[in-house]
Amino acid sequence: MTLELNDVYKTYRVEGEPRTVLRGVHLRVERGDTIGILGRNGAGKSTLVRILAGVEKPSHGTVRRRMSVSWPLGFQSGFLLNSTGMENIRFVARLYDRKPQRVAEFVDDLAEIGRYMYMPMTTYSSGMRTKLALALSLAFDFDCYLVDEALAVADQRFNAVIEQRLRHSALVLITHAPTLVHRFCRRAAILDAGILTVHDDLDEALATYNAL
Amino acid sequence: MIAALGRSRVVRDLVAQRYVIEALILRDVAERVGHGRIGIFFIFAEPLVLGAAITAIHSVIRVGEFAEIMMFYSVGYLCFYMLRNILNRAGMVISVTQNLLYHSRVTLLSSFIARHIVEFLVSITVMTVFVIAAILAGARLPDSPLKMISGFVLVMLLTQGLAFLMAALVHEYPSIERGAHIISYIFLPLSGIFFILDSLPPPIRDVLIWFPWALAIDLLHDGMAGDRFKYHWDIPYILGWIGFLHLLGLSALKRVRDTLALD
Repeated sequence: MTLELNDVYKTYRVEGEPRTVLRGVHLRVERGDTIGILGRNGAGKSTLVRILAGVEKPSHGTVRRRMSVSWPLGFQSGFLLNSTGMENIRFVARLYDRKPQRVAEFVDDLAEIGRYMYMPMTTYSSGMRTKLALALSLAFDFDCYLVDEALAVADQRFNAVIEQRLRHSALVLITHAPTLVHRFCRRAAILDAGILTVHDDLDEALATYNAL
Repeated sequence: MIAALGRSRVVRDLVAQRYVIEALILRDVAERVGHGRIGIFFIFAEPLVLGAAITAIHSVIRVGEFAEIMMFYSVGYLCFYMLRNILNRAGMVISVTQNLLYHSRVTLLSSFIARHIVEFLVSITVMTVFVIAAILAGARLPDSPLKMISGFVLVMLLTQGLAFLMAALVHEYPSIERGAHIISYIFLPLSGIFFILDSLPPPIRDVLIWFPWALAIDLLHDGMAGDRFKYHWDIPYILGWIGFLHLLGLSALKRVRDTLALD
């Protein structure tokens, strides 16, 4: 079970001009792997997340997905804000052929939505939306969890669930925050101007990143 | 062994797509209904009121029995209603589906199909209401409901292929989006929704019988009016067009998918 990026390039057209964001990225994630990818603003982090999630295709190179990869943890743009939390949960549960009620119970336990579960999401505070989204991603079993900054808001309860999930699954954590990588990952890579350098030694990676 | 594995994966993917399409249908309905359940009423009210208005106009300006006029024009109008909705909404399907693609099971195709199923079901439900109302008012029973439904399904499939193509074009050239709905009005005279193909003057009829939508609706009219008229439908020809439009439309969608860039 692996997720493998081979010589991945991504070029966008911006106002007709080509702009290359990823340049020859190689990455191999195996089951049980926990890898942090550190990058400053504009290094290509979001693009890499979209390629890993499979929502965008590389312009050149290949992505081999031999394990199930989550959507970015805590992803919110798929919500219909005029619908209730329950309706949004039901939609995702149905997509993955899971019992909506079970998923909703898990989410409520973790995110403590309470009576807001049956109110339109427009009435939620942004903290509540974030928690609901994060809990919803954790309600599903994936071989590999993809995390894009979202862990910054996780509290004790969330962290316990995340740690439990990571006993069986891989983690790719893409962030600008070395502390998160230090906490959750065994190895790290640095993304700088679209080029990814993988370090097997975590401390070495963090030191290199801090020196950037 | 590997072929068998590949096949079982295809089967698994297809089963998964069933749940995905189900979920997308319910989401599409929820989006249209909005919060507050009165919305479900409006989904059906629009085609009902428009169908009734079309019937009213034609029963005033045409001679003939009211019930027959209601049957003919409401059925024709609902074909157009489905076609127009599918084509007009085609342009926005890709942009509203983009964010859902983070759920790897969701595909552009499943999103289109879910919407088309909703359009189909709404139109055929309202069409059934009108047909029953017309029969109660004294119209003759349809000659073959099977032919009517087949014709309607063929209209839907033809329009679906065209919708894929239009969606891809609108995505590639966003500036045409505002004009895209014009194309549905071209279908108003060309598709034979409001006349029997054979009753047209021969020079016009001989051109229109090459137009697959006109033939699919001709089949529907055959199912409705039976041997009162002469018909020109040709199912293999229509299926050929459906295949051709799907091939073209799906390859255009694949191209869009491969280069899709989220904001």
